[in-house]
Amino acid sequence: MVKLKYSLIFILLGLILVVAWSLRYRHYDVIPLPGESQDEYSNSWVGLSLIRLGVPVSHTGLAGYQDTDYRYINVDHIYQSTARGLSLSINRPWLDHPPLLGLITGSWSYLRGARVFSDTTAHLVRQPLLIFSLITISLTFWLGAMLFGATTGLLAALLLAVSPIVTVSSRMVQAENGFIISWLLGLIFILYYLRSPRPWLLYLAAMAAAISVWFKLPGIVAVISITIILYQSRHRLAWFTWLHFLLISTLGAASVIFYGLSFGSTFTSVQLANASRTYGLGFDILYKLFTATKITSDKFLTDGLVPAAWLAVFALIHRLPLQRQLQPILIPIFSYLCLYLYLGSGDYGWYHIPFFPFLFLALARYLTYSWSHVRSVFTSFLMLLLPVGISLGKIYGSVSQSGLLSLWKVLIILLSAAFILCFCFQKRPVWLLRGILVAIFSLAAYLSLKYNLMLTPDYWYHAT
Amino acid sequence: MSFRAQVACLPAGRRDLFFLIFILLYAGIFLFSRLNQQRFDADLLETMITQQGKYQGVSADPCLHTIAGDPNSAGNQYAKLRLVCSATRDTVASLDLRAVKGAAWVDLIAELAHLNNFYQSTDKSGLILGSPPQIYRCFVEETEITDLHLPIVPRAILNCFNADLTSEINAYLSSWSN
Repeated sequence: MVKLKYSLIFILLGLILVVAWSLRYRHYDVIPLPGESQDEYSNSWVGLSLIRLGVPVSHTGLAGYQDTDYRYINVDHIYQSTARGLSLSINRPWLDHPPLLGLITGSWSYLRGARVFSDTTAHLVRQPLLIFSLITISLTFWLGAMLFGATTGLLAALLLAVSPIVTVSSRMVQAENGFIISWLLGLIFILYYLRSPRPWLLYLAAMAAAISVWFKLPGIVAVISITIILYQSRHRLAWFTWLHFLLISTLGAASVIFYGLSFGSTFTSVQLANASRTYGLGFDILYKLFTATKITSDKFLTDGLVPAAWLAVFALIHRLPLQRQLQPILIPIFSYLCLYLYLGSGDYGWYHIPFFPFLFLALARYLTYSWSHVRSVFTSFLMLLLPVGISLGKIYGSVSQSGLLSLWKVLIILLSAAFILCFCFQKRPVWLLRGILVAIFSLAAYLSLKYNLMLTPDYWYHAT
Repeated sequence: MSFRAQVACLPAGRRDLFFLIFILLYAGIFLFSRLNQQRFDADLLETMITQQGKYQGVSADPCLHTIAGDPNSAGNQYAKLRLVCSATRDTVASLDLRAVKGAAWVDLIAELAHLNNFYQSTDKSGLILGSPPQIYRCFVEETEITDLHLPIVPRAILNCFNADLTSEINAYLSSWSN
């Protein structure tokens, strides 16, 4: 029976990964349009130049460099589309960020025959990110299954797989897509350590947290959040455990400074320039975080699953009995939120990427909680109406009152009416409430899938 | 808590080994990176920046592509280049002069040829573009630039016409005389 259960879980996870792969692979090299974020090339050029020249060379928008060389590099024909005629400022050594993601995409490109900067097309450099995305989904499942059981893990994995904003942003060569993997791994190792305190698990967690910083300096959030989790559990462990972890992971992360210092004084001046960037988030920062998400500099994509997941986070905070169990989800969310608000150089969509696995775990947890506590079904129902409504608006918004839209509206009204009727009974019909929950969740997932399929290059080109 | 106290938290027997590992890690990363930098080759870097990618096809037609947008960040350091390939096809590009390697008009044309990947050369007969090669005549306002090795005038527009387009050239020149 247990074997059957595990087989079923892995089959379902496999199906989710197949769906995720199909959605991510579809138009992966044209959505977002090549060059909409030049960071994608920038990262890959760092890797390619480190491999071929031993020195990172790339495009930067930061001050702090001395001899900027302006160039035109027409990779992916960006000068015919997205580059807006602006030349690229090339710097050597490029030290905007640590080089790990660049080394991965650069190595991949090199192995696939790329030798010059114009070879590193979006078609090539985004391929490793497709794999990264599947790893992130699997690790989210793993974390969810460890904390709340396989059903929650599977639901979170499904939400990550079909969320349009995750589908699009997870293809991009952005460091956040890298450090989320090592962060999740670090959390998983530390949860195993909390179950059975073996030192090697602590070392693995510390190593994973330190590697996060090699993707991007905000990866330090992995060190911070895991230290807080260990500190919260200090009564169950040797008192110095959290300090031990903090020391190892910080010393490991500090190795990136020695990489930077090996290039001389440029490292210091670039980091100082990085630290004095404009605070570009603005006063509507939380509105932007919860609602419309900027994918690139001028493209937005609104996904109802994200605000629904934020609502789930706030709903879960009020469920006091769940708080301790939820710490490995809530602590990362609020640690990264603090870092996001503090660093805040812009409201680009990729800064939101590290939130997504934890947000969808929270949403999945709230849904499974509602399954067993039917009083919470009402909140879940309202939460899930958000993605249903937003997806319907996106899919049928341009078709005024089409027959299909009316059909969906009738379906939602029927579900809502059935839901309200449940509260008229003296003894609430649990089976019906659960049925409605399953129906509205299936609807949200299906419409998100459909929204994904609507994202064609033509749609994207006109999206704002 | 002081650093000394933090260190004291570690199991005593492993303290030295622990720090040795990190010192070796730092030294290893630093030295590897320094040694790796010795491989730097400026010519190879130039090739990596300028060489066309293998996925970029060579264009026979110089007017096939347009450079979309203007280099606003260049301030006054830009020049425009307009190619008129036939009576119905032309293309305009604004180029950042900081990214043009060379100070002559021919370098501006070479940069556009590099960007849009078409053939260009100059010889006694003048500017030759595209495939099959066509001779072009270039003007800045009403003045014909016969020597394309003259320095670029920032903010100017270099108009290059396929030499066969006599009527278009005459129409252009007459627009200046009016």
